[in-house]
Amino acid sequence: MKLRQRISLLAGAVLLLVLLVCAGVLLLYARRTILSLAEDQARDKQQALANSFSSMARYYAVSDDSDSFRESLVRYCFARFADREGVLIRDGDILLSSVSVDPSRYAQPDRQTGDVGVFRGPVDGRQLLIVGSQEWIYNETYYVGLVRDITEVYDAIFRLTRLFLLVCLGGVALGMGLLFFVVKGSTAPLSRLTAAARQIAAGAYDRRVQAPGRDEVSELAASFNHMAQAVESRIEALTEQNERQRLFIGGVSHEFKTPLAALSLHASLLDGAKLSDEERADSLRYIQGAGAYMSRMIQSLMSLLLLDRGIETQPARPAAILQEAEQLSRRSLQSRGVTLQVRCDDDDTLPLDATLMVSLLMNLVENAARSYEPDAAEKPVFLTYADRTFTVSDRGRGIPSEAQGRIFEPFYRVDKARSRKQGGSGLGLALVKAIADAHGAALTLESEPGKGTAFRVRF
Amino acid sequence: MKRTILLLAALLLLIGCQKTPEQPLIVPKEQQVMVEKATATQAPETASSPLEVPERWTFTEQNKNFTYAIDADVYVPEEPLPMVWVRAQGISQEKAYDLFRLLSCGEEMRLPRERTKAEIEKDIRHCTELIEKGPDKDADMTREEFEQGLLDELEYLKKAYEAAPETSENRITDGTYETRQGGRFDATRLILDANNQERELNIYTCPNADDMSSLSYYRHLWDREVGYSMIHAQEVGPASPLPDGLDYNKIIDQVNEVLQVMGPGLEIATVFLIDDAADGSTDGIIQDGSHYALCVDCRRRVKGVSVAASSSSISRFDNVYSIPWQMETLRFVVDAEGMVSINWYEPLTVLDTLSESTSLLPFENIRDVAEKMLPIVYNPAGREHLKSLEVNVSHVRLELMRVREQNNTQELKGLLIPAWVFYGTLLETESDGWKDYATYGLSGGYDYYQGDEIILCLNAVDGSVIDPLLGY
Repeated sequence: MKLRQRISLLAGAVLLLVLLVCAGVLLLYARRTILSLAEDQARDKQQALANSFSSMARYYAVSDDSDSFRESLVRYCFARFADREGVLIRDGDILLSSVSVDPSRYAQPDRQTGDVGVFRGPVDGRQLLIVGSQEWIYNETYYVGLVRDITEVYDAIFRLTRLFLLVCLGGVALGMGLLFFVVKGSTAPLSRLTAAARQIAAGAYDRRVQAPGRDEVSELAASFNHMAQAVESRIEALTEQNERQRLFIGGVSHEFKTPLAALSLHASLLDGAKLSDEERADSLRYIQGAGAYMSRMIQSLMSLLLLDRGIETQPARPAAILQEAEQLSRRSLQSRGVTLQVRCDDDDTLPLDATLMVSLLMNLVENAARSYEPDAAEKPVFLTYADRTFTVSDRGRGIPSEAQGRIFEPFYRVDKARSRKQGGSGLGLALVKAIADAHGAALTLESEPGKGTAFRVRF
Repeated sequence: MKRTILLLAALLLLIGCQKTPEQPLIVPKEQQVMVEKATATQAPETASSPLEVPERWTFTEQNKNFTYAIDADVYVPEEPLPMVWVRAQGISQEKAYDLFRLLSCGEEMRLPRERTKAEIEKDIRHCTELIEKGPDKDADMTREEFEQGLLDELEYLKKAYEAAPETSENRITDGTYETRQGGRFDATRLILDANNQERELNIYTCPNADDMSSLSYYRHLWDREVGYSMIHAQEVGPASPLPDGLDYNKIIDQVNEVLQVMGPGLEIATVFLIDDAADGSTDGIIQDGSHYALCVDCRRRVKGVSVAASSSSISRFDNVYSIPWQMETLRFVVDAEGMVSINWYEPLTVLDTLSESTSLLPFENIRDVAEKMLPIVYNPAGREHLKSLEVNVSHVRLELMRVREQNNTQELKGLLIPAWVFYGTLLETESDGWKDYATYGLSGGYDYYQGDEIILCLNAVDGSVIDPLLGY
């Protein structure tokens, strides 16, 4: 059974009990009051009848009156004041009566105190109220009775009781109905909480519930929202961390691909090819440089992936950065017929993470190299530094304008098929952007399809 | 919970069903006692000898400004006094046809035309206008009373409008009753209203005896400004001199002819000579016979004993919901041209005989009671507005008096019991000198003599006072 049903039923039962008790008390009181009033009225009328009758009879009575006259006088005086409720009895003989009961059997006055006798109860299937007293006329005792049928009063009380009970039941039913809706309204937030919890479990982490007010349900809703917010934040953090890890793995594989390829090439040369001492030394230096680079790359990538902790920069000469990037890229470029032209116009220093900047430039150079068709006659790539700005440009196919806004998204490729064929992972420019952002540098792009592209990183 | 609710509902139903069964309080003890006493011993065949009544009864007494006088002949029937049940069953259709044929004199008579919707609508408009206008400035009622009266009338008119026809005409009648619901107690009544502008016959009858029945006949006196009245009434007999044109025997024959159609038991009681000089301009000298008529009062006789009658007494229970029951009265007014009017109220139908011969109280007991009760019944206490009262009893008759069946408020049924009935006049003089001929118990009055009234009535069985207004 639902909570609101239980509450409604319980409240209804309590309400019914309370109403019945109150109704019972009220009805009993009302019954007693009504019957008491009826009795008082009957007493008053009987007394008025007895007094008027006896006064008149005694006024005219003379001791030597004949029996016939006495009877006639007494009857006449009684009939003057009595209506159909009056009964006159003498020595057990009914002299005047319109009723079939003998009231003297039920309501005998107190002989000692003279108090009237009163009877109220069932007689021959009717509820009667009988009041009787004794009067002395002609030295004889006359019983003056009043018989009032109060069956209607009892019937009215029964009807009142029944009505009262029906009203109580109706009131309880109505109250329960109203209570049901009130409780339903009060517990609605719980249902919303339940639904919200299910939605959050299904993945809608931004779902919240509204619960205005200051009651317990509102507090529960607020706590729920707080919990949902914490869950959402945690999920976001985990998602972000997962994304960074993915980027790291992707970045590592992406960044290591080139130097590993060069390492493999140089190793092959050292192993098999007949090289001059200078060429051998050159290859060995490359292998050392590539190893060192890869080591630095891993550290830098770790730092990059943990960018929320910030990067450590140190003053570094852009010229040195350019040189290292050229060295690490030359072999790979030459094998593809791409010429790299490097120029450094300013010999200043910038606060940089040198390794990450080398990676940035290498990614841009690689990206420029890939912008040419494999059978293009000339494939120049320009790497320059001037005025606190690194620029990598080419005269390749260019980037369509509709792709320029998304080019820095991880794994986004303008031409997926060509990019994969050329070995791209879709992370290069994302890394470039992340490195530029980490340095606080502005990364801009100018490109015109068919004419070439220029990436600028301005500090 | 459901069980509890069902239980409560069942309990309620039980409570609601347990209404006290309706059982009337039956068997009037007092009347039963009286009947038992009356039938306990068989009375002698003739009532007069054991009673030893004087031929004339005289008595006088005074109490302050009230005087009481009995100077009366005492009439005792020769027949034994019975006790008989009676009922007001009205006039049967067969009798109505006979009376119609007799009283219409073979002329065409028509039923009153029903009021049409248009006529009632006119009255409704008039009523509405009166309500808007309000009472006159010198009207002796408040605006609320004025409006309430008109609103009641309006309600009645609206109901009548619903039932009214679009058109109506005066249909010729052959004396057949039409059934209608109405009257004071909304009883089913059979009604004949026949009129031909010269004479009018109205017979109202209630077969269930739950409302009053009556017959009224009028010969319209269009050429007279004033009709006949009892102002100068003089009792006359067959040998009394009458104005020219008035033939006593002929008139009595005409009356008897109608009485024969009305049924057995009715006979002529008293004949008065009356005139149409309502302003009292005659000086007692008999004038032209065309201004005179005979007023013939009749009464019923049961088993040879006359039944008490009084034109003005209407008995009813003190319970206002009981049906008023007027004592049977029958009066003819006949002039030289023929029947002028007949008024017959509450025709009685005799039912079972309870006692053929009833034991009666000795006359001396009655005398003692009467002479003492008369000043008590008409005592000055509470009547301080009267300057004087003269109670004059001129006739005392031992006859049958109708008492109502006790506790029967649904029909007009009663018992004819032997009673000493004191007839005479109650002459009141108000403090401003105005004189009235009062009715029993000083309950009402007339400006002029209407005939002897019942002044006192004693149960001949036990000597108790019978109140004709109450019927017991």
